Amino acid sequence: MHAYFARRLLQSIVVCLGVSIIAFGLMHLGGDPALLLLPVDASKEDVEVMRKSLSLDRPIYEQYWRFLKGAVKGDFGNSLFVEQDSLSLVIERLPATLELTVAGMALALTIAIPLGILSAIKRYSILDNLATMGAVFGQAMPIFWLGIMLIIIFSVHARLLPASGRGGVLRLVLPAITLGVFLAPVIMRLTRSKMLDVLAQDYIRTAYSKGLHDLLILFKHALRNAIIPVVAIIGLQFGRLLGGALVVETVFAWPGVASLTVKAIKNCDYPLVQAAIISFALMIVIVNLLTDILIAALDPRIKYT
Amino acid sequence: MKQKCNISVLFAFGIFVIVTIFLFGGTAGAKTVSKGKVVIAIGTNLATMDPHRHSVMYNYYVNWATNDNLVYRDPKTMKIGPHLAESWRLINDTTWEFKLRKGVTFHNGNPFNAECVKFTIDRILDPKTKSALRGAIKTIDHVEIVDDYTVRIITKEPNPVLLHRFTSLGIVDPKHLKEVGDEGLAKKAMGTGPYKFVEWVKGERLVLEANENYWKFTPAVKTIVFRPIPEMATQIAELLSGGVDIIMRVPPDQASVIENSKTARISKVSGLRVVFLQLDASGWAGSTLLQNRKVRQAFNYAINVEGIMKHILGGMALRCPTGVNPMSFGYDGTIKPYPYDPEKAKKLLAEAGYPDGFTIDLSSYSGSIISVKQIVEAISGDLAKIGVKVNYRHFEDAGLFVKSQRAAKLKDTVLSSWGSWGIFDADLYYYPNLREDERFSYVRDPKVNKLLDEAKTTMDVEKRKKLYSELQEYIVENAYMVPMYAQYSLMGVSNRINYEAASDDMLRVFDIIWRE
Repeated sequence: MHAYFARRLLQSIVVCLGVSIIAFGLMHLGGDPALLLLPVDASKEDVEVMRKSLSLDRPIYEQYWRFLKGAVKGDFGNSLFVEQDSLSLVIERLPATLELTVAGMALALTIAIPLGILSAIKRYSILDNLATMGAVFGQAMPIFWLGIMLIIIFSVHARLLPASGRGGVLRLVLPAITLGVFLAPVIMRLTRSKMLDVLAQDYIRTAYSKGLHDLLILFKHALRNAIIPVVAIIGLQFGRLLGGALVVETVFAWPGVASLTVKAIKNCDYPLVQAAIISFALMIVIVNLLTDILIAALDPRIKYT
Repeated sequence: MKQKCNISVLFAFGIFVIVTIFLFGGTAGAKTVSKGKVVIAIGTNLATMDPHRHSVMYNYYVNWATNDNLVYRDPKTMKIGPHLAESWRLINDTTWEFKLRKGVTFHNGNPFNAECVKFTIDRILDPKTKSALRGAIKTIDHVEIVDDYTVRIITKEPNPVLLHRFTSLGIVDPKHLKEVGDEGLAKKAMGTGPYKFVEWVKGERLVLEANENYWKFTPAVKTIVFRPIPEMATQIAELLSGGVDIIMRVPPDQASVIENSKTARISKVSGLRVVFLQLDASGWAGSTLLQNRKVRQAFNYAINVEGIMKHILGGMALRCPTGVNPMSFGYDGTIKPYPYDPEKAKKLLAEAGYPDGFTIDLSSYSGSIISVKQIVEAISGDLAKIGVKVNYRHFEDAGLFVKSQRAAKLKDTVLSSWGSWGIFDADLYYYPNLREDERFSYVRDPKVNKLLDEAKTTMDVEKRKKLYSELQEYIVENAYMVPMYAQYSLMGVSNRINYEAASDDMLRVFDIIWRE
């Protein structure tokens, strides 16, 4: 077990290194931060002065090496546009993104899992058909469109909820629903199909014939087995969750990490992009690790060696 | 019982009102008091509170509120007037003397004086500051302090637009900067302006409060909140639901939604930004048929600019026959634009030796040009009528576009726009777009260079005007571009307040007043 985690940790370092090299290389294919920092009519000389003061005139490998030396110590350098340490800029925004993603995920789970179970038990019933239809609808709906529709209905017309921004529970409602609807369909459909698989197993029939209580069978025998692939998918979906968070953050002017990162990419703010991308990579690695642990806890047959 | 309760409340309230009027009524008329809160939506996050370390329009809205400038551009006439500088005169062509206002203090109580002006300019000029404004004032050689309230600014060569540059330098307090350092100034604004910094939650809100001791007036609005809202649909929803009071850069096709609402309205004005089609007249980005003057003239006849203004922009544009904005200094209204005449265009192409037409590249980018893709489609359609096929390349990323253009990688034609930084002067637009070796210029013409250089350093107003007239005539005659139009800027304004859009695209939050 320990050897396994040590190996995984080592792998994650390689992953972060790879991600940073790719990000660094791709960023340098795009625009030039010196040009974006200066007014458009800046002269060649102005640009050279700016490039020099940002050390952009050095060869790329040298810039990367300088970045790497700092990054190992947790120092990603100051953002090119804001006089502040890049990592602290990312960390500043992290609570907002966590608040949003946790709320969205919680909402998705509370809708999707019970609905998935019910649909499996009452297969082909009206409820099942409605739920499946809803899931297809939810999956097909572009997330930004849903967000804007919710704003128009609940903020502009009904005037029940604020349209955007962060602060207080009320402002969290619409973004969380939007993100929840984005995540729920996959989880609901997977729960339903896995439950159907498990409910058709011999040991479930045996449990019924032993005369065990329906609910006990459902939760202890069926759900515990069916939920394992669902947990795995939720872990794998973490990247998608961040992608969804980006759209939701943009539509609802939610001050999170995802929108900060996209802005940084547009600005070619190299240090900030690096700090954000490495943080994302680390988060994804950690979530995947946690998922593995959770799966092992749910299914004692799974052992990591 | 309920009825009775209401009446007694009403009664108590009535007494309260009467007593209040009695007690405070006498003083209310004497001095205006700032009150209430106005929320402003901006399209991107604010980068910094340091007025010298960015080149973002939204950021200037804040700078103008917190940090006064030497001079001030009037929102109606766009003329430069006194501000922290009470008066100025030219001692010779390269020496300006400014008399400064006395008795002005920074929000921390430190006095404003000549040292602050010198320090501010020196700070911008120092490459270590990495100031985005450095290029704008690098013509300044040095600043001399004559006495506490007089400074002389000596330029390397005569500079007729220097005064315009002083509308946005953001005077800072040297003592304060010494205490808090560059990083401190980036986090917290400190100036002499009509609004004081209160709080900045990054990505969420910036809060300013009226400076009741402001030397010029007392702002009507007590609290100003800036909120970054990247998505325009969300900004409009916020405006309509009363969450924000002002939104900027409303796309014309969305204007009717706001106009038809009961909560907000549109304020529109002809802006300074001009849109034009650049033609590679010199083969800067690779040899091209556009090096032939007849071909360039044919393009000018072929493109129906007025049609674009009418049908795509709904009339919300101002024709610029020479490219120069009609509101700018130097504009010559006697020069007529090329009329829309596809037959003439075809004839010119035939004369040039291309009766069957050819294919050209056209590049554009997302950002400052309203309805850019429809406009490119219209241009392509017009060119197709004279047999010219367009190979279209669009950049979603403005950064990559700018980088490519500066590296001479955009061939033939580019649909460009130019904002001139709120400076209403032909130099700011013509020089970077026409002068040989300038970063965006496709023109290599000694006569153009000579006229541009001369106009750039001529202090005599009438002589300068003549030079620009000659230049505009020459540009149009040689068809060095397809001049198009100036865009309107539209903003959405809540019905709670009175505020009108200004041609320089600036938002003067201190001019917002309550609607009674």
